[in-house]
Amino acid sequence: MNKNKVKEKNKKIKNINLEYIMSVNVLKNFIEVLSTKYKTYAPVNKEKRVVWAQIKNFNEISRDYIDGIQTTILPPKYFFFPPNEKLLFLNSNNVDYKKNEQIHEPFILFGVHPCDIHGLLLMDKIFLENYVDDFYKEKRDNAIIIGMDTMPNEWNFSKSAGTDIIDSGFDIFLIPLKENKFYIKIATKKGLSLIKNINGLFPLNKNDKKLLTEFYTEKNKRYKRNVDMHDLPKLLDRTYESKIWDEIGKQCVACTRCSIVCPTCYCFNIKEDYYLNLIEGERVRTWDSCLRQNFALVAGGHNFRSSLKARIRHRYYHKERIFSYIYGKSACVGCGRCSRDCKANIKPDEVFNKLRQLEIKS
Amino acid sequence: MKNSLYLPVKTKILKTKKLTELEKYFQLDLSNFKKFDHKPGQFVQVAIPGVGEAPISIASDKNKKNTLDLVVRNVGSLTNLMHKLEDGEYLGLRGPFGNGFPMEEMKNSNLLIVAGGIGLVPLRSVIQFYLNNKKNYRSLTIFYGAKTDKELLFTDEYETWKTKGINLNITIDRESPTWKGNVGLITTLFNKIDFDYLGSKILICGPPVMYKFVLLELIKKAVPAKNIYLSLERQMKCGVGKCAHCAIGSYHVCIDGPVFTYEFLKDKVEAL
Repeated sequence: MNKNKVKEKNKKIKNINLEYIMSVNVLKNFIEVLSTKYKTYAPVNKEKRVVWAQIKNFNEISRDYIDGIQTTILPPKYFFFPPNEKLLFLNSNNVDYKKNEQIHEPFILFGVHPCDIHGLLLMDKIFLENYVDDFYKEKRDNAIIIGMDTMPNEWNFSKSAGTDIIDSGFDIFLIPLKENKFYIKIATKKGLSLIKNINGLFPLNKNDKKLLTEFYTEKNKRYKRNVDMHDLPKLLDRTYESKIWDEIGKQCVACTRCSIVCPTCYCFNIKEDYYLNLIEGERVRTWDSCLRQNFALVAGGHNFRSSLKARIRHRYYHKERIFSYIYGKSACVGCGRCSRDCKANIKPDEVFNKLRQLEIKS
Repeated sequence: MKNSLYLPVKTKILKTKKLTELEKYFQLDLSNFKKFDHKPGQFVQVAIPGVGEAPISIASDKNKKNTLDLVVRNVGSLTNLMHKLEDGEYLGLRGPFGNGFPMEEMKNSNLLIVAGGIGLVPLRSVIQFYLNNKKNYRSLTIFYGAKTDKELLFTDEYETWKTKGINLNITIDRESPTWKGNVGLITTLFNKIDFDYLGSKILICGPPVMYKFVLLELIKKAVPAKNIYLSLERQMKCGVGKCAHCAIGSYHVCIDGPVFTYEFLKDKVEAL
């Protein structure tokens, strides 16, 4: 397909914008129907946390997730860019590599938060622009995204990051309302085909619109973390030499948990291993992190970021500063997962606020 | 999608030659590639099944025989195994990758190559390109520095280069009974050799420590930053702008480089 055709196709897709109201019972029925047809993954409770898992009915979905008590451990990148992915099979006798052909079928990601959809759209820029990453694309093409707005959890600052609202990147979008109702928006042909046989979708009436406004009022009120992210790339330019980076460099323990849980961290490593017949083997890619000691080491022994201070500063600058210059937006979507899981209690929203305060003082 | 961005092409080694104690030359047969259209200064990812991949500079210009030259220093696990490969054996190859030197942009200029150690390897592709397209350039001067005369690369080509009009200047760091030429760091050549620095394009490749001192010399001579081209070394894992091991901020050396102007690099952190 040439570029113009793709553009046209995208335009057509964007033209669909149907809004309805449904009762929670209709949604329950909808999910049951969907999950018989497609593998359907949604946030579920597991050992006091929330993880993505395959579901068969609505009641399995984490109430904590919908209520904004907590979000999933991992962002949805996990489905398209798995932590450990076999890319190639190898044969050392024949000096031969073969692609690991995976079997793909359409699947549903249910309940993806707006900030996580923003994260996926940024990952698409990395993996689908310039050189197209075939392993990512094959999975991404098969995904049906059902987004869902929820209350923000205590770490989330997506409102500050401008990712609390989303208008593309999903097939269907849901908002849980009072009176056991759900708002549903259909954005693509795929989405339209999914609701084809669903009875019980009604146009929004005055009361529904009021409930929708109430949801947003309540959501906005629930944000506990606010950070001034305007002008962030320039703020970082001005504060590159700030003593804050020395402090954070001392605090960070390079556990790399922030990279694991980040919706837009995409660094990876590639390695090969022999099977035990010592002839065949496989090439695997694994998640990596720029916080690791040898991440920027070259063959001659020079390490471009040998100190932890340089490495964690690079992580912030990569995400917030130059990403903005290239793609027009910061790669931090404000999901708050890294604040939640940092071993050293470093919170990016607090880092940004500190940098700004320090700058004002001086 | 049977093909993959990460799938190496099985490539035959036509010829090998040990150049120095640490460096070995490989001539590869490109006939298994549907298309391999490379430019001076680009690189490939070389694979040995079971060991993995490493980025290696291309050391030759396009030629009719459809072959490719690599020169590899034995410094890691992959390059160590490469050194054990002989004529007629195979390796995996992906590429070519990177932007290469903008030879079009440099037309009608004097060219100065500044190479340190194996930095001469990617620049040999420029030398060959120059010899193939001589009428488009005013002149080519080379400053080449190595630790000892035993580490000098492509020694059997120097005479040809010189007879074809290339101004070749070599210096070695330490005196040696077998060496009669210049002794001293590469920067000492800048005061010894008379050259029109201002009206020229400068192409640099060498170890990270060399860039700093060479740039100081060029700044002293008021060479505009946009006329200075540097080829950077990073450990690329993917070669296609994804894995971020070679990131300078959000620029990837593998696709946005490895060649950058000093104009571009001077305000970038952790680049040089």
